[in-house]
Amino acid sequence: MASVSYDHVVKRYTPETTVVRDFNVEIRDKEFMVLVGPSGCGKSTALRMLAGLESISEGEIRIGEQVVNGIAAKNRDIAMVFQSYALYPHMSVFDNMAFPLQMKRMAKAEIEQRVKSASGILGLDNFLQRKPRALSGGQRQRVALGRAIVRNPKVFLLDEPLSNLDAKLRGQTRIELQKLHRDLETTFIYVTHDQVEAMTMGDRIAIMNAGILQQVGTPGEIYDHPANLFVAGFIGSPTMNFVPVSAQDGRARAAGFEVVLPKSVSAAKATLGFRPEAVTDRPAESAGSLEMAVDVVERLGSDQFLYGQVAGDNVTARVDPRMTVAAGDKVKLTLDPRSLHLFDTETEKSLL
Amino acid sequence: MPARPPAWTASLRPGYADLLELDWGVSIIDWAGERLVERPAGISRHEVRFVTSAGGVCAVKQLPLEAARREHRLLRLLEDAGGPAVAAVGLVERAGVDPGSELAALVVTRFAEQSFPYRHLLSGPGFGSHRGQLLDAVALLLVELHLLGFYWGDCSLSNVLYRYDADAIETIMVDAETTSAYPALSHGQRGQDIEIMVENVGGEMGDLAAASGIGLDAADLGMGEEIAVRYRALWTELAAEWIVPSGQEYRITERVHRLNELGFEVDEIEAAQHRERDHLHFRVRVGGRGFNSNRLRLLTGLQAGENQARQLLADLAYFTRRQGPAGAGQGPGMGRAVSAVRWRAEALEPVLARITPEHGGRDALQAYCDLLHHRYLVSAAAGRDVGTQAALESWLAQGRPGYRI
Repeated sequence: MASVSYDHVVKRYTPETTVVRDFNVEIRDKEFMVLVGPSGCGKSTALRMLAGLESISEGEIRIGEQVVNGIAAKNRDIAMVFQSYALYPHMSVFDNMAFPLQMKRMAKAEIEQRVKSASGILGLDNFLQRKPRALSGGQRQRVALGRAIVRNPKVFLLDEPLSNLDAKLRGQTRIELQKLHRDLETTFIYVTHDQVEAMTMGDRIAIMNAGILQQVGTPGEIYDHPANLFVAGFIGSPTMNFVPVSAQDGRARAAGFEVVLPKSVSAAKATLGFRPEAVTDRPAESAGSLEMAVDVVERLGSDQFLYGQVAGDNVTARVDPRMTVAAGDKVKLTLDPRSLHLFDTETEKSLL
Repeated sequence: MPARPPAWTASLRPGYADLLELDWGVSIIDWAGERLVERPAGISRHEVRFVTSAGGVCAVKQLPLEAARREHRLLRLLEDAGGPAVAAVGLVERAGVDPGSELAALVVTRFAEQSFPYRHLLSGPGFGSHRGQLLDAVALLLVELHLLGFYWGDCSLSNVLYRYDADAIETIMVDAETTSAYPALSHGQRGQDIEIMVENVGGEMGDLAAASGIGLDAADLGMGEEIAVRYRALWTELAAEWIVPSGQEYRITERVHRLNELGFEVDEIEAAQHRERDHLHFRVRVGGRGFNSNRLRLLTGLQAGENQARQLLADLAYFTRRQGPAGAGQGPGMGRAVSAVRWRAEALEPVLARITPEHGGRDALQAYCDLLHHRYLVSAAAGRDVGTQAALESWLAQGRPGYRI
């Protein structure tokens, strides 16, 4: 068990190619931290530097109190999960988990203790003498996890571990990993490009773009208080609505509506952000109203999404599924004042 | 009425158009018919079937969309780089299927004919003799991939197919699901790839033992580490920086010859004068492996494995010596080319016509290499060169010794 810290870490392949810039993150002991961002944002490189697979151009990485910059990968006491998924068909579940320890010539009693401990956590106690073919897909996945657990690493590293899995197994394994983290009480660092995975799994999320850390926070903090336009647009599905406005004396004016901002801010050019669920047909209180020309109605049972235009600006609204509306309709909707965001159009930083 | 979207889309390489006749709309698990054939497959988390095609037998693997696109792209990159991997023949994407589903896409690769799985080498009676060849072959494969900038991420014995290559074994990577390409690999990446290989091979040896009713205690769990030792020795030989005293620059040429002997092409030699000016530092930048096979192809048009090519080129030299100078008066370059044509027409083809009437291609060249080895053994026993014809009669009479496929 250990904390991990990145202290002004830089990764540069050539003088012109810097893929991670001044990266600073403190990952707490036992925390589930997710590094998330689009392809090529530097998240996997950041993880690989911690794993010892990439050299560090500048700065320091610590595991616990120890600076690991010069320590070989195999001596960092970390485990990359799912580097090998293969289960061996003729070996029992016990042997499938035990053989890496036996290869290290560990004492039998110690191997038995570690495998039994892992199987207890994974709910595999009753399956230890079975062969993999007698297990379900989810159980097999847990045996593969068991092979990483028996090493007793200080930190588990997971680089897009679900990307090659079938959607159903991916969903199951996502839950398994969360339970596993809770039961093991060990630090997990998880890399993904999928914001849904990040939001559902992480205690905290670090969002990266173009090699630069954009924001670190809990899923709730990031969803409710995005630090900039990139984070606001990256997190959330459907994505946040963005409308160009001018702001003065606590009011923001768009082409087709006007809203009262929660704070008095003035900016000649700004971007108003509001999530689809902030556009509602049943206001408790209202920051302003707008008229939406509906292009598409998407009914999902528990939700109803309207896609359309407000004075030429594209807007998505999540409304009550019982609301009667059809494509071509014009509907009056209101904006929830607690869910408004305002970004400086130049710097893209939050103004609220 | 609006056109319905296609149920699937396929991109296939020329020569494999008849694959379009297969029913790509259903899971390959449900395929039936005479196009299906059995071939050895490794331990895969995905379904794999083998089908015949005009272009040869193909492996079809069913997997989620992004994983399929990624593997297809990596296999094409490997092929472009001259990497030792199966060739990607096509990618099929099923429209309207959840992209995350196992049924979303298929990667089609050409099956490496005359190849076999590692169990064929290790569980047969020849275990002892093949073990060393297997270790060398896997170490060499990993070195080749790393030199080309490919991180495998799942090197194992079962993710490789094997083929006899004269007196050695050739390896072909068959699974690139976890592979990534880089301009160059770091020390840490190579180390990680080796660690993964060591553990995977340990698991495979444990499994092989378990299949025979033997426990982990008696399994050959150290085999992966032996491959790692060979890998490190070979890597040092290929990638090390060398220092030679001034005036001994000929030792650079020696290094190049040594690497050519190992089958590696030398792309570039980087040299720098040492500060004290009495030593020269140099490093050889090694390209793909295929020095001998490329030479043989240029001279004769034959496509052979690297070690087969080494033996065939030696036989070409033997033939030239016995025939005397060919193309006299036409210059040394023309002489070599004429010798190569005569060797193929007068030495190789007549023998192939007799020994492998039912086979062709690499299989036939392997048989010829076995005959060459037999010629050496018979000549050594006789204390004189017996010649190819006498060796051939003896080889056939003795039941084609060494001919293993």
